[in-house]
Amino acid sequence: MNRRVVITGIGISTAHGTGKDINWERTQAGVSGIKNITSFDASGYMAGQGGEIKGFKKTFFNNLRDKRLDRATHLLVHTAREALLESGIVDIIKDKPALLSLGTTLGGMLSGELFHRETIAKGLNRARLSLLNDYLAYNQAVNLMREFNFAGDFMIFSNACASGSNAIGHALNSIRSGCCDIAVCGGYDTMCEFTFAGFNSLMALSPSLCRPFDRNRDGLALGEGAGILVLEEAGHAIGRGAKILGEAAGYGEASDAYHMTAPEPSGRSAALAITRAWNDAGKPVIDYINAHGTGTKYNDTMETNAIVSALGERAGDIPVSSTKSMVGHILGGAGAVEAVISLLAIRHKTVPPTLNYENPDPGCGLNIVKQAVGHNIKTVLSNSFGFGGSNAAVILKEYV
Amino acid sequence: MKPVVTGRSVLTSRETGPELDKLIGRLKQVRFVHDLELLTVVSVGKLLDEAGIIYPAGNPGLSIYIGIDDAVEDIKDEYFNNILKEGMMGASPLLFPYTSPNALAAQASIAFDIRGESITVSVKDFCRDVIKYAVDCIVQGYTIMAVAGLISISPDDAYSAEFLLIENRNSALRRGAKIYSYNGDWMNEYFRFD
Repeated sequence: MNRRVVITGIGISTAHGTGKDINWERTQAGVSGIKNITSFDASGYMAGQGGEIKGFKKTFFNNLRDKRLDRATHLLVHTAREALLESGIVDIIKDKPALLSLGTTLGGMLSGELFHRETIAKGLNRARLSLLNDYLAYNQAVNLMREFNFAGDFMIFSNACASGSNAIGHALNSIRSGCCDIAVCGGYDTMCEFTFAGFNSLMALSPSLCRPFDRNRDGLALGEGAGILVLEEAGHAIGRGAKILGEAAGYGEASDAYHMTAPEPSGRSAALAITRAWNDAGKPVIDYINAHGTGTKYNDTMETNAIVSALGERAGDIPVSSTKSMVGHILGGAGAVEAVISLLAIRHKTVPPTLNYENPDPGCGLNIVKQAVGHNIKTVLSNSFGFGGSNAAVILKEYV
Repeated sequence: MKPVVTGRSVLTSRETGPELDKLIGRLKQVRFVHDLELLTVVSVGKLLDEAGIIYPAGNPGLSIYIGIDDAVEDIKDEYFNNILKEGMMGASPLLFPYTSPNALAAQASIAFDIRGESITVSVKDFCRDVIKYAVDCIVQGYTIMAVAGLISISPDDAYSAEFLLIENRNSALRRGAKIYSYNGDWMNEYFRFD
């Protein structure tokens, strides 16, 4: 079965704000969303900054009661609402079974943190068990389905920083294979001390600025957010008169089998993931690469090797940027947020910039874009690489 | 073409010792920081042995798909309680990577050099989700063979692991593997659904 899969709705929430308009405006303007952390006391850590969504407290619910729902549910529902409304499928998914495919590493970790704090302070018997109602990684999906009376099934990928891309890939494959006509997919994660302390202990956080692909890069900045895409079988979307924003064309995954935290230096398996996605998409000309680009020494060199290995001589000419330099690394949500940005780049025919890129690294000989530049982007490759050597790549195209 | 089952392993964390002894000398070097990883690696090793898969595999056509329930919470508890008790100095760089649910699949992929897809799902419907996902990946041609199963906490507080080796039928026939079943009901017949 050869079914084309199109995108009919997108939603995004990052340190740039909530909504695609503000996100694109600030992304193409090269605005940094990395600020001092305020959601917990980060003063003792080597880095005190991250990409929090400062103005976002809660969203509204029609069917859920917001008492003790985790920030992750608020972010997810808020972002999904934007995508579902744009797609015009809010009423359709009440009756027609659709797939919900999400990626997250943390789920409702802020609730879990609070439960742990209460357990330490008051003892297990006096800590509020209700805090665990929205803690596990699939609780937020259940909440989303209840809020929108979603008639279908769901799948949750907890595959570290590749989770969001895995979720998109699963949605793409499910529609292609005829399992469903509509899939709501994406990823999310929140800023929390649990992960901040962990990346700090690994010396992976930049004490200064996140500088992807720069010679002086010294680590990543963490972020929070969500990205949601509504994927739909092309005939189904056309049949109901939906506005088509783009096409989901390819997906690939491969494992390093190398190390729990360090990427395999040659980029062998990341290249395989890219190649698989590229083949899956029918080997299109890639016009822009939204890199994983964390700003760590090891990742950016490995990613360069992978891109060169997978795309050959042309790799050095393709514009590349890392939007993590502006909003931070959203972990399980990164792949989804970056897929939304990639689609916006196609629609606006503009390559987003990489902030803080000042001194090119000879070991990263790619065409890194410092300032937003107009470009006739028809096809984008978006990379996501995670702890444990999970490598995923997604290819999005202009719909013609 | 329906994929076939060519191996199965069922193990609890109380049974890992003798099984680990059988694997020594054949694993790539890995460090275990928690019983869960040990159980995962030993279970996958037992499965590959039974299915006749030589390792280290180095094979991009062999993938691993793991579903996990609340079991990984024990690692998170240990890691985060240390932070709460000792402040940021309590954050263990050794333990932190294992708080990610995909650490178990990653450890197995490293130990046996499994270079295909490595996917971890937080399951709601226990094994059915992850087995179905693995089957779909084989049917759609994204992988040839799949280690697929789940890690969970059993009622007696031990961890339990159940894995299948699911394989493209042509691949199984080509390498002369013992085929457990390839009728339409094989998932229910060969895997326990709780």
